Amino acid sequence: MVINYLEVGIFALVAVAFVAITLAIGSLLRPKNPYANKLAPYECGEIPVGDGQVRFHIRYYIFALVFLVFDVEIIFLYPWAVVLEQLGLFGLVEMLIFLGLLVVGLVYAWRKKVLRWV
Amino acid sequence: MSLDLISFIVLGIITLVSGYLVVASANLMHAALFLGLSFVGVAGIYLVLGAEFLAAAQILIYVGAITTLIVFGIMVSNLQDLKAGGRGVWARVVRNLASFRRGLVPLVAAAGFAILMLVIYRQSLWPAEAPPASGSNLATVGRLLFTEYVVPFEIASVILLAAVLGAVALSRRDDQPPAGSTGQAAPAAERKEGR
Repeated sequence: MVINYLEVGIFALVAVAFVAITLAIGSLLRPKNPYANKLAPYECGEIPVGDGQVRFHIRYYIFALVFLVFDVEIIFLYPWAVVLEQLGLFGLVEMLIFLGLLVVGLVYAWRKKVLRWV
Repeated sequence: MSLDLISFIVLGIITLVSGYLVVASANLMHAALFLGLSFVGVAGIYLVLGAEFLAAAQILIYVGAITTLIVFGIMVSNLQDLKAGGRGVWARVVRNLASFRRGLVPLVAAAGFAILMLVIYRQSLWPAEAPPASGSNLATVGRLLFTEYVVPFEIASVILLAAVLGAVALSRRDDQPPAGSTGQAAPAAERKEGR
């Protein structure tokens, strides 16, 4: 079973190794002379004010919530796309009903202006 | 040792270590990202077990959306008090393992659970057989989902719709009056005009 995904494993290993080796070579080659000014976070040349972790506006959260719902929708599109040819028109209509119901939700969010950025 | 077993062990270690780091990290953002890594490990275990659709769902929904949601939740909340000192995670891991309350008690509880699971595993016959290595798992899921389980599938759509409506209703902006409370409608409309 897992042999089918050997490429994925090799890819993951290469990806991790690439980053690790690149960083290791960099840390071996570069001169190292840290001082307080150099270690300060870079904010376009300005002296950084306050903390890096600020509170973001709650309005971002609704985008994440709506994204979650449509993410769950997307997962159903995968098996549907695989068997659509066998299902024919029935499968198409089914998925259109499914998507249509969710579009109602999107339209509701749209009309309630939660997607508007003011 | 078969390749399946090796990959299961590696993925299990990834899942467990990152799961531990979720609770051990002082920085909540690191904890959220380790949670994503542990979800990835679980998805890999699903792949080893031959449940490809489940693995895809795990990656897409848990790693993609739930972790995003948690990261956003951390970003919108006030974290000033939750930052610990500059000590590294692994130093705290060693210190925790040496302590009684945070090292010994959880270890004993985990060991008891492991023994319980081993006893259950040894005593019962598992009816489950290894899934046929067809590779067309997704097609089977799709065929069943869109023929035999059409109604649950469409009901899932309605549930998702309810989720969208609930999310919108919960995070509605101030200038929209809550449904059913007509008393607040007038000032809310005024506020909208004022913007």
